[in-house]
Parts: sequence; C-alpha cells; structure tokens
Amino acid sequence: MLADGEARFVSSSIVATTGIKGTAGNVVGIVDALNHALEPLALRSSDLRAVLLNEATPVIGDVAMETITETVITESAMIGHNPSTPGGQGLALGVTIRLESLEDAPRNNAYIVIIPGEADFEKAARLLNRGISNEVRITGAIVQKDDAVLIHNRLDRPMPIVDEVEEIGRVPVGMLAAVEVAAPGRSVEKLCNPYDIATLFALDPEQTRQVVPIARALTGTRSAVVIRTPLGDIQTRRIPAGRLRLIGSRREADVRVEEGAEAIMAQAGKVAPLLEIQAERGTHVGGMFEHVRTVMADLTDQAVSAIRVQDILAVDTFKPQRVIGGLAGEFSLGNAVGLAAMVETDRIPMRRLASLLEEEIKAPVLIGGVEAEMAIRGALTTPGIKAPLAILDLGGGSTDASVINVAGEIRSVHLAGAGDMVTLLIDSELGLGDRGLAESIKHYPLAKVETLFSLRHEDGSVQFFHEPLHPRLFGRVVVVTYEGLVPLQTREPLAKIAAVRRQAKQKVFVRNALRALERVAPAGNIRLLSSVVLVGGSALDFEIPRKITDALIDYAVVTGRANVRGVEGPRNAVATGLVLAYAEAKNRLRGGEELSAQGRP
Amino acid sequence: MWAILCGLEEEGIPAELRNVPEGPAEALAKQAADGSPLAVGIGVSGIEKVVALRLRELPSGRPLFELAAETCSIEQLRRVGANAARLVKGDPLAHLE
Repeated sequence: MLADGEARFVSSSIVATTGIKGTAGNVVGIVDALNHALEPLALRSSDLRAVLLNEATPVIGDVAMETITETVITESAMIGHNPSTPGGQGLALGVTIRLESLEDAPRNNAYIVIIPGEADFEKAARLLNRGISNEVRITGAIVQKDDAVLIHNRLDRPMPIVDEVEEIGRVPVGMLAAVEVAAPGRSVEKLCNPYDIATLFALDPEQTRQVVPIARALTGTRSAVVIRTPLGDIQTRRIPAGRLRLIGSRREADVRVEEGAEAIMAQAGKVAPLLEIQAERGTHVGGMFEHVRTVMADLTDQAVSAIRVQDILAVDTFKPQRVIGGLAGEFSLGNAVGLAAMVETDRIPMRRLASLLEEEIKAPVLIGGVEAEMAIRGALTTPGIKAPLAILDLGGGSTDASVINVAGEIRSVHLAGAGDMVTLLIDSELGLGDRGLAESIKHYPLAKVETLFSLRHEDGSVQFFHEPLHPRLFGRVVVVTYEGLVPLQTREPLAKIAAVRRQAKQKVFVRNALRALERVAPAGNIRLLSSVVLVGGSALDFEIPRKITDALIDYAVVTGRANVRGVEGPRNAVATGLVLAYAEAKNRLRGGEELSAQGRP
Repeated sequence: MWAILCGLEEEGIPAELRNVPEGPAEALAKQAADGSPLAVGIGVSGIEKVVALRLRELPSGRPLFELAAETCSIEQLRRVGANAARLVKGDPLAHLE
C-alpha cells in the first residue's frame, strides 16, 4: 500500500495465521503474507518504511462434549438393528430353540429357530424343512449371518426371518419370542405397539408399562424381535457428567452438566453478568477448561490460577453410541451437551513479536492500534454503511462483536462458541469421529451419487461425468469439496445430513450473534443499530450469513457481509484500519510513504 | 460361481447363468452386461481364473472389479454378487479387500 499524502491501496494478501495471535509463531505467517503482497510490486520487505501491527487481543476458545445418557438392553430383551435384507414377512410367536435341538423338540409348542453362523444356509433350510414335515411348528427364525433371504427362498413355508444378529450365542433359549418383518419400504406395526406386545405375551398393565421403552425403540424399523425374559428391558440411563459453577458479580449458581444445555444457559442467564465459570476436574469439560486456561497462562506469562474462563455456550446435541447389551450392534442416539469456553485477555505485550519481525524482514515494525478499533475502521470502508455500526466477527474459537456509536465510542465483547463448535456438533451428531471430515461437511454442499456417471446435488441439479466415478463413491452421499468428492460412510440420507449441518450453524452462530449484539448494542437494544457487517472466516460460509440476516430481520437492521474497501469482502478489515489510522496520523511519522500491513485472516 | 449367485440372491436381484465359449473375464463380463436387461454383467473365466464385474456403459477394458478366482475367498465372491445387485439398486457397494 502506497501513501503519498493519503492512503492508496495497491496490494493486499492473506494467509492462515501461524501460531496463536500475538506470539512469535506469527512471524512465519506475516513474512509469507508480506511476500505475497509485495511480489506484484517487485518490492522486498526491506524496501518498506514501516510495517504496522495491531495490538492483539487474543481469545482462546475451545470445545468439548459430554455424553449424558446411554442406552442399555438388559437380559437381551430385544433386537432392533434393522438389517437391510430380512426374509419373509409377517409376525411370528414361538419359543426360542437352537437349530440342533429341533429334532427332539416337543410338538406342543411353536418355535422361533436360532441359526448360528456355523450352519450354512442350505443346511439350515433343510433342517427347518425337515422339522416342518415332522410336524414341528416353526413360525420364524433368527440368523447370525446375512442369510435370511437365502434361507427363506428354500423353505417349504414362508415365515419372518431376522438376520445379521452378531451375538447369536447370547439370544436367550427357551423363552417366548416374537419376530416381525414388514413388507419392503414399510416398518413393523405390532412390536412397536405396547398393547400388541401385551397381547402376544399376555401381559398385565404393570408389565405393559415396562415394555413401553422397547416398543419405542422398535418404532420405524423394518424388522424386530422381542424376547420375553423375566427382567428384560431397555433403559436410557443418565450418566453423571460433573458440575459447572457459574460465578456472577452478585450471585453464584451450580449446575450439573447432565441437566442439559437449556438448564445451563438458563442458570447462566440468572447469574449474569458472569465473572467466571469453573468446571469439575476429571470430566471432558473440566479438561477443556484446564486446557484453555493453560494456553492463556503461557501466552501472558501468568499462573494458571490467575486465568478465568469468562464465557460459555452450551448446546444440546446427540451422539450415536452402541447400545450396551445389544445383540446385533444396535446404535442409539445418546443425549449429549456440547460446551464451548472462552478466555480473553485485554492485550498482550507486542514488543517481542515486533522485534522478531523486524529482525526477519529488515524493516521498521510499529504497533498501530487496538484490534477492535482497527477492525471497525476497516469495516467502515464497506460501501453503504454508517454508525451506529456493529461488526460480528465469526471466527473459529469465538464470536466477537464490536460497536461504534455516532460519537465514535467503541465497545466490544467476545463470546464462546463459533466455527469449531459447529464442527464439533456435526462430528458428534453424525457419529463421524473425524473433525476434518466434519469441517468439510460444514463448508461444502452435499450430493448423492446416483449412477457411476452422475450425481445429484443438494439443490436437485444433476451433474454428469465423462469418466466413470470411483466404485467407492457409488450410491453414497458425498461432500463436494474443491479437492474432489469425499464419500460419507453413514447410512443417513442426504436430507438428514444437511439438516444436521444447518442446525449446528443455527444453534451456534445465530444464537451467539444475538447474544453478542445484545451485549454491545446501545442500551442493549439491537434495533438501535443501523448496520451490522459480518467479518471473519465463517462470514464466507454458504449458509451462515443468510441465517444471521434472517434472524436480524425482525430488528430492522441491515445485515450483510462486509466488503472492505469495496473489494476485499469480509477480509482485511484490521489491516485496512491500521493503514487508514496510520495515514491519518502520518504527520507524527517521518514523511511516511510506503506502508504495508499484516493480512488478518 | 455359486457363491456369486448367493450374493445376488440375498440382495434380491434375479440372475441368469449362461455357459459361453471361453474368453477373457472382462470380455465375458461385457457380453453379459450387454445381454442383461439390468445392464450389469459378471464374467467368470475358467482359463484365467478371474472374475470381472461391469456395467454396460463402462468403457471397454475397465471392469469395476476384477478378482483372481484362485486366491479370493468365498466371502469375497459373495460380495461380488452382492455388489452386482447393489449396482442395480443404487446402494453403496461393499468392500472387496
């Protein structure tokens, strides 16, 4: 950027931040950004009169998840894993019996036959047919391997068969059981209804009440098995997940994490304004709190005990987990609480970073101003806005808001919960166990591969390919990234995955946008703002700005992505602000001409 | 051969077995796919002892899967059959390794 009397912008660049903002680790990134910006001008950094840095106000944010419920099947009371190719159709009632015991079975009962993997399907079918011709009443079967259709096609009589039961050895023998298989595309009708289960097993009202959770767990499945074991049950148990202590200026409150996010946020609201939040040691959340405090302590050369977590955002979410005691690897959605925490500090001494940088680039480095102020100055170069102006910085670790009023006064706030939390929620609810993949799902739209040569995008449009797609993409929902198509292993349909993505963004960014703006708006009233501009990485997301705009419509505020200097979009606000501030005060510097500033991601 | 047919049967897709003059598995698979109303074919070559699975629209010489019949397991053969069925159904394919 050249200045001859006033600031003229000739070049800019941006690179990802290296290291924590305000530390020596940044030098690598800064040098990189400088080189990128100077290259088209055929200049070197040593040619610069000054490099300006803002006073960093680093915010350390982090996220953690606590699962607060788990599902347990006791005494192998049911099977509800919904295999893709069950056999036959209908409802069968019988006493469970092993395949090898069929020959000597007493003739006065009806039987559900248990078929282990050692029996190949032809032998199993033969034995069943022999039993049938010997007048053993066989009404259904439970099979270990994926053989239900193969067996059923060879039987003399049709019957419902459930397969892919991993733990076949644990199926209780000699117990009354019901097997139901629905027609293709449909789900069971009897075993998901407590009164039908009561009819089948002759239960009294008390016992019927006890089978309600089983009936619920089997709703929507195409096949199901219920086994009448004396204490058999499916339960959702709460998992103790530690406590949070919320300390406000006038009040304090304790809340147990397993009470859920709404309860946590409600309590936080009651003790607001919050001074500090503490978490119990030995929990995931406690570990996360330790982590952010330690990082900040190192950054500011203080003791960890002097660092306080100042804001949290709790969000109710789900986590698919294995059902304990399941016979066929069943999964259920456990309740979970996602928590984001934030620690901030006023400012950190920038001198050290400045000297390191000076050494590296052989040009003078000056500390130019406070971040929030510089950001607002830069944002004000967006065409079409005026004060009172708010900027919402949608970052990875925190959501920040700053407001400048007509008198030029600036207020800012940092809140926990931002891009990283959205990624955590997506990762958790889809059971991915892969943050990188969750990030991709957050950033990019989805598509379904319908044939080897075509896929259908989320918006319904179809794309054809000259070359056949790789077989591992066939039939799968894929993420359409710039680097290529990434297949997802989940069985969920595309619409469900897209809904998870959208809701995660809503739960974090929309909520925090409102929370943040209320804290900095004049008199806490968002309506009194004239313009809101969005900056930061997540302002470039394909859905988030629209969601925030929609939420703010009711407040009659003009909202949109910033467009710094009419060309940079939501980027480069702080850098631009630094240059403008410098140019304004340039009389105090020795005939300042060429200036340059660090690109802020 | 039989294991492949089981994979198809379990997935519920009808299949027809035809004995034809010997040839490379890929060419047999193409012949099968061309003759199939569902546009999917599997070729089993006794000489090469290779199994190939293809779709009618695939360019020649590029079967979707190719397995050496001698060294693969019953499970893998069954999965070839299952994958042929899933190609027809539009369902994700099973791994072959």
